[in-house]
Amino acid sequence: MMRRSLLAILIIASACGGRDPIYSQPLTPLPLLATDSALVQVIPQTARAVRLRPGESPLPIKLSPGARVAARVPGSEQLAVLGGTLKAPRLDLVDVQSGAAVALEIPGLFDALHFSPDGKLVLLTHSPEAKSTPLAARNLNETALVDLASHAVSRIQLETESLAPRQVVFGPEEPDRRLVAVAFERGVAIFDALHPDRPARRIPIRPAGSVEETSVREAIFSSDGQYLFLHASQLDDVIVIELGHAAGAGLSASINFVAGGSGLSDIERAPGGVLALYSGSKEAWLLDPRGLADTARRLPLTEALTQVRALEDELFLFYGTGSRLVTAWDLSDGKSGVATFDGPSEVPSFSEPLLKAVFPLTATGGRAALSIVTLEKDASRLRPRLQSLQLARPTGAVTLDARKERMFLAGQGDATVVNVDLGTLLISQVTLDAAAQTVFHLAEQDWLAIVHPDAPLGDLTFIPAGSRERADALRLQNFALAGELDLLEER
Amino acid sequence: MTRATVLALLAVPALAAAAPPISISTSVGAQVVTERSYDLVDQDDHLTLWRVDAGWRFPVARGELEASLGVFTGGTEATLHERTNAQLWLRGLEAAAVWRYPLARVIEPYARLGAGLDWSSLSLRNQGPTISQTALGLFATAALGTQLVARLGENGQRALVLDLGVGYAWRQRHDYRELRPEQPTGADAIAFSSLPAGTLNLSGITYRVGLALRF
Repeated sequence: MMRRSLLAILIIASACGGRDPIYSQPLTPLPLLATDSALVQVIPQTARAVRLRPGESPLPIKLSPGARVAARVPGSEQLAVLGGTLKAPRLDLVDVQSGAAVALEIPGLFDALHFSPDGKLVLLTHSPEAKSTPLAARNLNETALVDLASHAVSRIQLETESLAPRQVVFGPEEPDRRLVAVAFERGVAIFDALHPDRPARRIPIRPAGSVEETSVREAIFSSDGQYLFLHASQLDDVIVIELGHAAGAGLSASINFVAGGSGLSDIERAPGGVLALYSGSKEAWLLDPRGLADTARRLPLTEALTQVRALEDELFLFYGTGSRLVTAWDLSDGKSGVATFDGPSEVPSFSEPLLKAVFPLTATGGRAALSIVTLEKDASRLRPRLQSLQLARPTGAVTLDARKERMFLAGQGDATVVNVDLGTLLISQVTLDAAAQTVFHLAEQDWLAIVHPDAPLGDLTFIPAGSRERADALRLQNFALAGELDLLEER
Repeated sequence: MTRATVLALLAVPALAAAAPPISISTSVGAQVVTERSYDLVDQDDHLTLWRVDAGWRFPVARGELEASLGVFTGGTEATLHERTNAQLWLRGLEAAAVWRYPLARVIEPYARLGAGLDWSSLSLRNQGPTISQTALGLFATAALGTQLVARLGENGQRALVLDLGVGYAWRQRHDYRELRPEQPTGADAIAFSSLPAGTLNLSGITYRVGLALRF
């Protein structure tokens, strides 16, 4: 009897395990990501992504441990998640439709993702700002190129004298090459993504030994990939790098400094060259990439504007945060037009198909407002026509639908979501149960996902886009806890 | 002493003589849950269960058989990810057969087989409304134990019993795939969607210590 009791006690004692720490640690999900069909929340602590779709139960998707950065692959229903451990770094590719994830081995613990616009390639780089890295020392010139179709991973050592990448831009697909430019603070490194084994071409923009604090602020490829335009700090000239084919299948590069006005503030790709905006001399220039002064064109501005955006191939809009002015320039016929807002403008949203830009106006004494600029072209002039919508509160969350025909917005701290038809300016609205922090549009189902603030484990409301019926909405809370009971069984 | 009390005391022996062979017991024990997901709701693996049983005894060729019906309940809670209170309640009804063999006047080892229906409720609560789900399942138990018997009265039919037992419970996996809060009412109320937490197997070793009164 004694022996039997002792055995029972031993069996029971052996089962008295402590609590797994996975349930004790706080969850700090990465920011929500949206594809056309779903929202996805990545939770590093539980190595999970949770897919959220209107009308469906949240779907947990297993990932590699240690997710640090996640992003949507442009134009696809795929997510890329950088994670893994020091010994086994991983890039997880998550198919949001099927819920399947593929883990690729990558040659380093990278913490930034740079996609080609067509979503075929991604360049992995280190970010000097990354705080969560466990690495004591990093070579920030080391990168990895991943072909998202074949899953081929190539390690690329850029070997510049600069410390860290600032921007990555992909050139267009050419018959025999696809160039990738990595901008550093002291120059740019260019390599061919179709031949990652070939060494990168390094082009310094700061002369050797110089102590000037010049650094690359923006890089843009021309539409044919033959030129790379650089906007550098402390320089009024646009740096134009002509990219040719050198003997032995290498890359040739000749550098030209193209002058326009003074106080270069922004550049934009333009047919036949680059459009440069100068806030110092209050002018815009269409610059010839070869530096030919004869073909350069100039538009004087009435106010210093700092940003430029193409609404069509040859139709540009100049604006500036805090400015009361917007100017349009049509390069096809040289016409231009100016419009003046009622108050200082904030960061706009653009609808290229409708030739519109929507500027929130800062409330100065009166009510906040939206000013909608429509570029109207007729035989005699180019007219930026203004239409205004009064708002009860300054805008907080804003998004456009995929076709850029409707705008959905909510005021700061406001639970009301407003739907504006940008074509007709018809407005409808619905008031939810909690304030809107972010609004996403899910194009596939034509639903909105409104994320509510102060809910670390998740709180959002789905509602059909444009619906005014609260009863159509569905609220989902604590979705970061989806699949919690299956966490340890899968490990 | 009141007249009623005197009458009651006089009636006890008569009742005892006429009492059917029933027993009533109460016990405390635990379901040891070794599935790791159980850590969601507990700091260790022991789900404490309180139970009450009523049985009918009848003699067999060797020893005594008892058919019993019992109810049990128990719960646990833990803080989940430092923000959420996770709570689990397990309740059930069990029919069991116990075979006892009097090894000595005061020691009666037994074997026990049981089956029944249990239901559990998993609740998660943080700053929002509590979300919960109740899951149903069948279960079966097998246990061995011993009873220490203190006989009362002259014929020794009545007895006070200390029960010590250990066994195993096989429980159907409980499914918590639709945790949801209480839905708001009203024509334009915004409904809450459900949250799938997963499934939990509450099978494992059981043990208990109890007191029983035999009539």
